[in-house]
Amino acid sequence: MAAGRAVRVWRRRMVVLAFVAASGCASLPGPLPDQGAGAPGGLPSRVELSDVPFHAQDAYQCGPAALAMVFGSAGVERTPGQLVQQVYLPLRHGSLQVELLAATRRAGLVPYRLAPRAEALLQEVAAGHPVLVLQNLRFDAFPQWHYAVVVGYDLVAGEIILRSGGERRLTMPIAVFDRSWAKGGRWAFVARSPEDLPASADEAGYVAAVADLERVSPEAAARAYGTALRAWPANLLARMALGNAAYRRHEPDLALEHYRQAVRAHPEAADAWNNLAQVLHDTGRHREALQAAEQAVATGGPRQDVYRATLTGIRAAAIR
Amino acid sequence: MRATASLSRGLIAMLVLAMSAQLPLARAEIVDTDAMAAKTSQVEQERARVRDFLDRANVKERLQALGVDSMVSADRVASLSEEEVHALARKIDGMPAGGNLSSTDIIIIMLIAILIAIAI
Repeated sequence: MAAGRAVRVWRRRMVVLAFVAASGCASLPGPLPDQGAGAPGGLPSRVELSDVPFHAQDAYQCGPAALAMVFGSAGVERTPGQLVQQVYLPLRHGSLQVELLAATRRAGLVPYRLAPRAEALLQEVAAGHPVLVLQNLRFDAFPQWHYAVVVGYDLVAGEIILRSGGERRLTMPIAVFDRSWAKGGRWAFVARSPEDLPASADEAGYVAAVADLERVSPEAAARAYGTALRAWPANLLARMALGNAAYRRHEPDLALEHYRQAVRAHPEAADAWNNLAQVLHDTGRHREALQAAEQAVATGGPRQDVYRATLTGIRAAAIR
Repeated sequence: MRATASLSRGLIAMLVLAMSAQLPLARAEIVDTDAMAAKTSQVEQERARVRDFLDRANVKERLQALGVDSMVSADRVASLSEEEVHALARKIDGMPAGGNLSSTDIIIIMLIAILIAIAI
């Protein structure tokens, strides 16, 4: 009797578990596909990136180990030991998220933060990009923060495949993974070479990530701006950044070319007119310089004082 | 030690403010990429630059207090974006630091997760 009731209770709990597991997947794109059905959004239903290298973590150092794995997949060989110096905080026994992004810049790679959605995660993995994720493996009040690398998924079996801690291949039910990931705000990023656009990249987000890379690694950033312009040929910030970089390197002709393209695509961009005016002036094209400077002032904007100074400078030079 | 640090920070702040006051408000020059990204006026930009400078000094000290070598901390701070430095300066102690984990932890965690799922 008692045994029969225990079995019934257990069965009921299994039903509840199945229900909770299914509802936990609600954040994934639509309901999980049935056996043999195609995955949502044209993604393959099963992907595993077996080539992603594995580094087991020492003691508290899952940050350096996870970074070494995503770097390796982007063609930058680093050992976790080399990265400890860049990201580990001895008295916190761990690594901060922003320092992982910073170390990625130092390796000459673009750290791209994913939108906090499962679709973006799956999209990157399907494109061959391992994703570094932050998980909270305990409770909000008593957190256990952990970095792992998502290297695969199986929507049919309902599993996420990770390189995590000492485990080369850890599979987690999607619902369990998603709960641990959601507690960390679904924070995730990919580290890609400047030529390799993340699969889920959005225009403004990618260009902003490259702008942050520029401070650390200008040469890598220049290549990544090129990547951005191949995907979004009219992007103003990427175009201007390449122009500015050429200007700083004292290559006025190249700068001129970029600024001209910028004003052609964005005649409303006063900054572009201003910089064009300056480089035209520097290269002795005074009449054109004056016209461009007047265009900048006529357009106006938050940096109107700079445009006025440019115009004044060019006018003064014409008088002399 | 602490008094020296805050004294030097005060001096740096004064120096930076004095320097920025000396700068002419508008110079004829190209508009830089970070200025375009920030979409702010030149005055606000100068202010942000001062804040960034102070934040970086602050974060460098905090990293050292958390056990990072002083030579290394400068490089680490230099690789952060302006926004990241600002966030660290405000709340480094409340930020998650991913670390410690063993395989037994993972097993326990998976068990707890399943038990919680059953209990709900």
